[in-house]
Amino acid sequence: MDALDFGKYNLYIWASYGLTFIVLLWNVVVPLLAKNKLIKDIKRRNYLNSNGSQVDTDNMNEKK
Amino acid sequence: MNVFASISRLYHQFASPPYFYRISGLWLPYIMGLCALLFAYGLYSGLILAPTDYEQGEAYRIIFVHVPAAWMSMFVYMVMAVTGMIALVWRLKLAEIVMINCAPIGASFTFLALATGSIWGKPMWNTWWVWDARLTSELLLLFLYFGVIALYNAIEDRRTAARAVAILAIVGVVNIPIIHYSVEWWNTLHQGPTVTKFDKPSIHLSMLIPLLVMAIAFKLFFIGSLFMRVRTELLKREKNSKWATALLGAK
Repeated sequence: MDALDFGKYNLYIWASYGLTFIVLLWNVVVPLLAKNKLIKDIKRRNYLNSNGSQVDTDNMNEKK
Repeated sequence: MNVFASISRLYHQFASPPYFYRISGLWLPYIMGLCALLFAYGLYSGLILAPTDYEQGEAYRIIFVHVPAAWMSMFVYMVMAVTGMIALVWRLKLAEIVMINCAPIGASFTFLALATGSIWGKPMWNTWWVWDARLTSELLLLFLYFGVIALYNAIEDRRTAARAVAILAIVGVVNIPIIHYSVEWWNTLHQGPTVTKFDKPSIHLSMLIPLLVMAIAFKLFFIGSLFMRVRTELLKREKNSKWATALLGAK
């Protein structure tokens, strides 16, 4: 691909674009992981509570 | 019909957690889809269509990620400050959540602006970093974001933490015009503005278009990422409410 060959600036340009990709990816992956974790936690709590025991599985250190 | 009353009703409706959760969920795929299309076109026109710069050669192509990231670093801060103001005045829970969830996204854009600027600076200025006004004030912005995140985590009660953060965010706004005008107020190594000038932008259309497309893509990306974070936080705080249990039960 000649069009994507930037000669002596190749490394600088691709480093910038690569870094951009990583930052954007981070901004999608972190919220997704947080959402999945929350839903798992809530489902686990609901399951435990439905078994009759009133368990508070909320993280104890979590701010209320 | 009282216009203010209807605006106010709309505003309160939008700020109500179940409504926001539902609407943002409907919008999210469109926002991210459009964002992906714009990124694809922006990359194509920026890396392939745009001509080589007569002065900087190919290296100038870093502009298409550096400048949108830098614009967003300031824009996100303004969103954080404005929602902070709303949170202080009206005590809206949604405003507090939006405010605090702006911080990590804004910090990541600020980091990106600094890092790509540094990578651009090496071949153009022959140095990774200089302590000049533009670079230093942008670095200060990164520390402001870190300060916001640290302060929020340092206070136990979330509502109190949000109020403290709102004040810090509002005070920090003073840095935004300093960043913007730093290249005009001081002699710096950083080049002057090429787009946001009152006279004609000193950038050719073939370079301006990819830049603006990338800028819009970044903005949509911010909205999408913010919505994702805010939705999770809303669900977390309201997990015992009727709408949240109904929603989770249906899944």
